[in-house]
Amino acid sequence: MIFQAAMRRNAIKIEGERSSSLGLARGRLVLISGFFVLAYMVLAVRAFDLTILQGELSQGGERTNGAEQASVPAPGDILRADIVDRNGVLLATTLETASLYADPRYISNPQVAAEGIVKIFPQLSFGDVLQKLQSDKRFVWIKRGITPDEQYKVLEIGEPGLSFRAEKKRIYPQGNLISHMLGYVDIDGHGQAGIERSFNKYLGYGDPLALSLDVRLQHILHREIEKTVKDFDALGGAGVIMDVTNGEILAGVSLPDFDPHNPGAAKSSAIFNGLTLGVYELGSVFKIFSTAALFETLNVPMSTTFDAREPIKIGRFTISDYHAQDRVLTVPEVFMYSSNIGSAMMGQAVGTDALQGFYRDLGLLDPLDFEIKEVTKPLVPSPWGDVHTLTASYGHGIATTPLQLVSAVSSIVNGGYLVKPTLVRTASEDKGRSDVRVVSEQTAHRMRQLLRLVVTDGTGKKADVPGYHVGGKTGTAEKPGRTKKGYDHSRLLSSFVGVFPVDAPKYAIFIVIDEPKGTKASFGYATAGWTAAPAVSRVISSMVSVLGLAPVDQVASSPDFGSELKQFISVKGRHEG
Amino acid sequence: MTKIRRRTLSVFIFAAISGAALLHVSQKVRQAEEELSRYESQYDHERESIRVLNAEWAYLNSPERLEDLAQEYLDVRPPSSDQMVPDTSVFPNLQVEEIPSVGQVPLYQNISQTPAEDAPQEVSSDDVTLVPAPGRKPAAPKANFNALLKRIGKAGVP
Repeated sequence: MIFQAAMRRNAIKIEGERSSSLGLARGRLVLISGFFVLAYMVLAVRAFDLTILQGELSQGGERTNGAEQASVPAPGDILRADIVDRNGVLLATTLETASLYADPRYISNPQVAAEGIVKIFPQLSFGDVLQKLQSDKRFVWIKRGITPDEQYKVLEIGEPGLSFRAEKKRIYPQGNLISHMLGYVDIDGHGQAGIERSFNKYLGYGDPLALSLDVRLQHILHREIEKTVKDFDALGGAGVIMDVTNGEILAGVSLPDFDPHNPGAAKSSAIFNGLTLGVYELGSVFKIFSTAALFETLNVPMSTTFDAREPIKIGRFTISDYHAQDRVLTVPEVFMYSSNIGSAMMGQAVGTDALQGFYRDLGLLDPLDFEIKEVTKPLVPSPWGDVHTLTASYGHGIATTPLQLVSAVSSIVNGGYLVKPTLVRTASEDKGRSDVRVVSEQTAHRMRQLLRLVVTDGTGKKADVPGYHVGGKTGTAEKPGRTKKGYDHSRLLSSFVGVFPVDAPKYAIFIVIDEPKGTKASFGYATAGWTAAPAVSRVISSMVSVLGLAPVDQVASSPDFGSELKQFISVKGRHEG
Repeated sequence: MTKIRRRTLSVFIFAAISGAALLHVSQKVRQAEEELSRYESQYDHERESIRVLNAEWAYLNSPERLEDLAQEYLDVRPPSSDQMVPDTSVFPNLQVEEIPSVGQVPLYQNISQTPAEDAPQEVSSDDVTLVPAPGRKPAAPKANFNALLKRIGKAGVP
């Protein structure tokens, strides 16, 4: 139109003086029309660009305007962080999976769609799915966390109302191995137990978390506890490997365990973390503490004797010995024969207040302070009478978690510095080591000698590993009766705590077996010396090659670490159990 | 008059050129953005693949699985403390001093599948057991292989 008008004006020729002013007007018109021409050209080019050029691009690329969204992830979009072990082995990670949902308004044929879905997911019921597809909602989950193969099959149904949403699924590549320590998450990725629960917020920020665990040691401990539980037809078991110098937990196992991908399918006994939630009267392993208390408070020599000929009668209690010696015993003898009478007398000598204070210093009377939130209070006699001092000296009438016991033992054998159990690894080497002294260097040394003596000559012979100088203490406790008061002689809790190398301990290994039953191979015994002690021996035997620890040359080495105590032992009998 | 025209014209031309340049640049930017988003999505995809592969790697290398496989297919068992020695100097020095040049080393050597009569003797001539005691009886081809290893190790060229 503009062009035509301009041409018509061009055709009319005006002569004369007014021509110059007309020319000016014409020039202006050309200018304006030129401007419009240009403007329309720009529009045309832009239209061409939008429809042809960008149209092609958007067909070629997958997304048209996703660039900005992809580069800046939304706060909820950060993947829950990985959990790794001390060597960087993956323990937990988050992967993207598709989840199937339906918008019932767009479902064209609920009947057919429901049939197709049930065919792909046999665990879903037809009625349920049909009900969901016919509901009035705009959004219903059908199945979350499906595999790519299943997703492909759902797409084949060709139902427009079925869609997928990318979701994150927590994967535990090690399976059941570390289930109690790691814990698990719910379907929305919130930690519900273990490290997943206590570090829920931290992991949400996306920073990987390194634990103190070593997968290889965890496997060794798991394997040996599992084998022992199976061999002795036990209810369960638990165990820890701890670095005594800083309290780092290198392995922590509680059996039975569960699949962290599907905790809902597990029994409550499997979910139960025996290491941190189980409180047990652990029996004779407590003699480590009462003996240490004796040295620490009274500073008596090794040759001190205790008369173990008569059972102690106090009120309605009678304290007698399992491995009865019927004679006067020295401290090393009380310890290696695991005399209840002797230990009770030690407790008596220490006194109620001092023993209670000593146990408190070791952290045995307060709830465990630990990175995992599933912890419980120890069962402590209240009020604490003198009779409780006697029973607590050999580990009865007081119940603690296995983890507390291992920490307390570590605190004594490492030279007397209190250590706290920890599951999280930090760069600094002396983390977890405190300057709080619980026993003197001398007491620590004497206790290590006593622990060695138990393995060379006492109840824990089966825990020895030639060349590695294992020290330890057995503990066979009867469980409280289910119906009547008192203890059930047939239901045992057999445990062993081992430390090695005993002259300068680095590792403490504790294993407790719940209700083992005697076998032919163990001559009917289900006591700690036959169940937990050999298991600890096997764990140590396997872990030294993993850790690359060279054995001590037995021919060239000086006399055994505990041998100087042998002068205090009068009769050498054969004692297993 | 003509001066103004010329100036106007030049402004027009300039505007047209800069308009075209602007279009060109914006087109380039858009293309670059497309490319970037493509790379980013590719990067996300690759990263997710790496995560999946890492998880798979961790699963395939889990100690329990490796132990089961080793027991099923190999003559090895978990090591124990009695296989540890305090002093590693008891082992013969296995480092080969001289590396023969490529041309001298045969690319392959035929190993007879049937057990050779003299193979076990050849192996047992060495006192130090370097290989951990197998859980099962060693198969004959393995002994043959050990013999071959020894010959290569000692003479360089068989």
